[in-house]
Amino acid sequence: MDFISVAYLGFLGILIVLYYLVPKNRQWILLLVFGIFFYSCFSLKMWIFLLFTAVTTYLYARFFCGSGRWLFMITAVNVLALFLLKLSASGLSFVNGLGLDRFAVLLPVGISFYTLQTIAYMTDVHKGRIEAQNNFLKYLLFITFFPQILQGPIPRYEELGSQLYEGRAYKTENLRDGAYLILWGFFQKMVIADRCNIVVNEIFGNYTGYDGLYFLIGGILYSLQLYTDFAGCVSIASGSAKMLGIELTQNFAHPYFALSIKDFWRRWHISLSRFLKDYIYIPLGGNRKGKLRKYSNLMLTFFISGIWHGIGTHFLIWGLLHGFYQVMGEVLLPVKKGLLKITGMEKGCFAHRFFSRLFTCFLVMTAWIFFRAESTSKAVYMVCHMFMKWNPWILFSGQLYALGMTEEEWLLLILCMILLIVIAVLHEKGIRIRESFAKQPLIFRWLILFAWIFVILIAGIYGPGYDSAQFIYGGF
Amino acid sequence: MKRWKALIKCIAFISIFVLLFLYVQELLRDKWAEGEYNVTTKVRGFYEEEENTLDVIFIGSSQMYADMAPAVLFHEYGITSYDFCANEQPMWISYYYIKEALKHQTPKVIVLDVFTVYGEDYEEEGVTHINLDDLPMSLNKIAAICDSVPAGMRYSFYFPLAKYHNTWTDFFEGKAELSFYHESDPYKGYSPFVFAADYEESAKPEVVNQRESEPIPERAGTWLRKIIDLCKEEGVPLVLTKTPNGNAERQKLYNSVSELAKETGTPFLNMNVLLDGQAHVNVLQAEKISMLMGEYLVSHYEFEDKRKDPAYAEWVQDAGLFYRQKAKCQLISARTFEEYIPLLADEDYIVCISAKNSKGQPFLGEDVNLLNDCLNLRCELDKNAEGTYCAVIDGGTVVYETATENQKAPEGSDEFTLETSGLNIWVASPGGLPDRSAYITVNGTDFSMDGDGLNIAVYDKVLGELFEMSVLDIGQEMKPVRKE
Repeated sequence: MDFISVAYLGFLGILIVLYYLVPKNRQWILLLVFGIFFYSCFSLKMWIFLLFTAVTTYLYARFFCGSGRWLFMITAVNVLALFLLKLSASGLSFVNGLGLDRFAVLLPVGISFYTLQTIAYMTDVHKGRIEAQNNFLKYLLFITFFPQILQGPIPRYEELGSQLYEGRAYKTENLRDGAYLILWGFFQKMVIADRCNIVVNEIFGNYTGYDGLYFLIGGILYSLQLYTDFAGCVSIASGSAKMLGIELTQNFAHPYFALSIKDFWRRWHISLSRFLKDYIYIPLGGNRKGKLRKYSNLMLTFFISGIWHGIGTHFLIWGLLHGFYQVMGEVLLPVKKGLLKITGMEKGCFAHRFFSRLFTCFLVMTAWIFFRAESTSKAVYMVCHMFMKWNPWILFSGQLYALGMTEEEWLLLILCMILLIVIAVLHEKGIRIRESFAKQPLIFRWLILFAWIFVILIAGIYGPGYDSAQFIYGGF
Repeated sequence: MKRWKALIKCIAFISIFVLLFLYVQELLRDKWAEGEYNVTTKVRGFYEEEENTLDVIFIGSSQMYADMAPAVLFHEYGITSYDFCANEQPMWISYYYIKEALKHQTPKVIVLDVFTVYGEDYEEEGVTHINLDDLPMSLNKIAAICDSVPAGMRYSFYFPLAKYHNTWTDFFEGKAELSFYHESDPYKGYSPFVFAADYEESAKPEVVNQRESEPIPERAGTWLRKIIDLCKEEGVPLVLTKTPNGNAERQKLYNSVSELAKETGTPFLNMNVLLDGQAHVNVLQAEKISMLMGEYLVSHYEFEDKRKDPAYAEWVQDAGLFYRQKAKCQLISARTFEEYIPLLADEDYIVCISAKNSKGQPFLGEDVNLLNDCLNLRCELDKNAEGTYCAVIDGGTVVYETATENQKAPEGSDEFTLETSGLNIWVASPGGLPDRSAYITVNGTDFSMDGDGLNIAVYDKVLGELFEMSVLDIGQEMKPVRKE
């Protein structure tokens, strides 16, 4: 059962009705039952891995939590299982040669997310930050809570656990806000991400037929696609949880408004960044052991981030590029200051922020090309050829329409980008759009809501021939 | 109180959403309302027929709606009928069309064309949409969707917006106008195919002599039997038929249908072995086929002649449209001057003539005489071959005629503009001047072939269209030459 389906909306609707009908102290059981059903819709085989992770981490937290050796062993076993399953699904030739590819079908949905989630849980119990959960079923609910199991956000036990077990009273505001979030998720995924996907597939799929500005457009649209796809999914997850009175952790904060790569990682996939920082970077020593050690820690953290996203040199290079960007950001700080002095630009002024954002976006976009390309050589080809041909006339000659989108669709996409920028600016200024919207008169709200719903229904990419299961981060 | 308020708001929101959804869905849905394959017009038109007024309902594919003209059955036998058909309609959809038809009509006979007995599996998605989208939502439609569409695709048939939403990029005014289409079809589901064709007097020998049989695929066979059973249950006589398509290979299947018909005691009128034809025959051949069907029906079943019944006065008018199409087909099929000219003397035509003779070839006296006799003209081109000549005949009456000797033509005398039957017509004849053109302009558009001979343009006042542009070519014995 995918988020983008009528079945999911039906599933959620039934759950919400039952959730507020049962006593509060029984609500968690309902969530568990529905979570088990939701996960079982993907494949029953996947339960083997999920239960293995759940049982081993539960047992550790319950009975061996003082032992660093057991923590290491259980973590290692789970990480190894994750690595091997990802390896089998990587499609690399040596994997196929070893016959490991036959296990690719077993790659469980959400394994990358719940593995990190349970590692964080064990570590926190080990460090005494949280109490271990005694009830296995309640612990299982923490792992299988359906809105976040597919693509996160990666929850912390201290943030999610109590919300799941306490029970929630009915509040109309929760239903309303949850519905807004779900609608926003549908809009991002169906209208923007899947529309970008048409052009991205064309350019990345037939890259030898394109050059110059085409690759820049491909890179920009892929950056937009990845963000709206992932943020859309998280928005649906957050909205679903919100309707049940449960707040999920924030996963995005307008990442393309970041002023630097360091800032980008404070805004992009926040729950993963926090995990990498708290459970890898800091335990490695963070910035406490000198500059050289700090830089190597950074590179190692992003190396792991690359592997977590997928097995393949292009994922590794993507991760290392981000590490490299951050290291260079620090190393070249004097140069940056010098440039500011030469240009007479004040730090923090509009022009400075504008160029910083533009430059950061460009760096991120270049790295995304490695992330999206199926091989390193393809990514290198695309990045190099982006600068080797000057062909801006494709913007005006109608050649863009040959990439699979009509003139009207390009116009729609541009309008959507403007909308995203406006929303981001308002958020950056601290304006809470949902709250402001809720204060408007009913007729105005309904007009906007109907317009919004029908934009999704009309301009969304769905229907016969469309595979809605392809949430990009669902594959990681 | 607060909860009740919330509930009322919720119901109001959902109700408005449903209404808007249905409206947008209908707006964006593809419609088939133009040209010969106008299934929307046919299917929606069927529901506009007054209840219990049809004697015969024809069910089947486009081969049925191209071949069976209810107008002929009414005009010749006083039988009211309707082609309740859609493109490549598989047997399993025909079954539900019959069920739908019986909800609104109590026909004396149902005639099913067995063209699609070849059906082995689900039809293509597009064909199924054409067949089902225009049926109003009902239990029959839901059952038809279940039996015609694979499970994973059914949602786009219940909610066609899922299929058609992406047509917003090419949304056009016509599509909006055709939304919520509820108009009766004057052709009663028939599609006039107007083109010139040569048909044999009877079916081709290879079709008639086809003795082999090919088994009917299980799926189509099962549904054909279901149709036979349904008609028996409903007490409506069923006649199986195959309109002539001239296909000897498919005749093998029809031989099997013949066996099935005998086995079940169902009459089978296989016109494929009686008349020549093709997938979609022209109007002239359709008239023959319809006559044959009419003869068969009146000789086997009893019908009340409704031609004189004032309640069916509109049918008389509607049937007239078929005969206009027939006249049109006859004219565009005429190949000689002698065949062509008499057909122009039709009271529903406006005929425009402009002469051109850049090479100074002679017009024959007998040709000019035929022209004058048939159309009441006073043309003298046989005596003055290079002179100018223009004429306009409206409903058999000459409304303007002018001729001059080319070299002496006073300014403007070789052309004229007039208003007749609401049309603005400008005709100009260059006569023998080689550097000038012949013009026949109707409402600002030139329809002249600008050839040597008599340039002709014909407008049908009933159909409201200018359908014929030709030149009676002086270099080719005045044969009508048309644009390719």
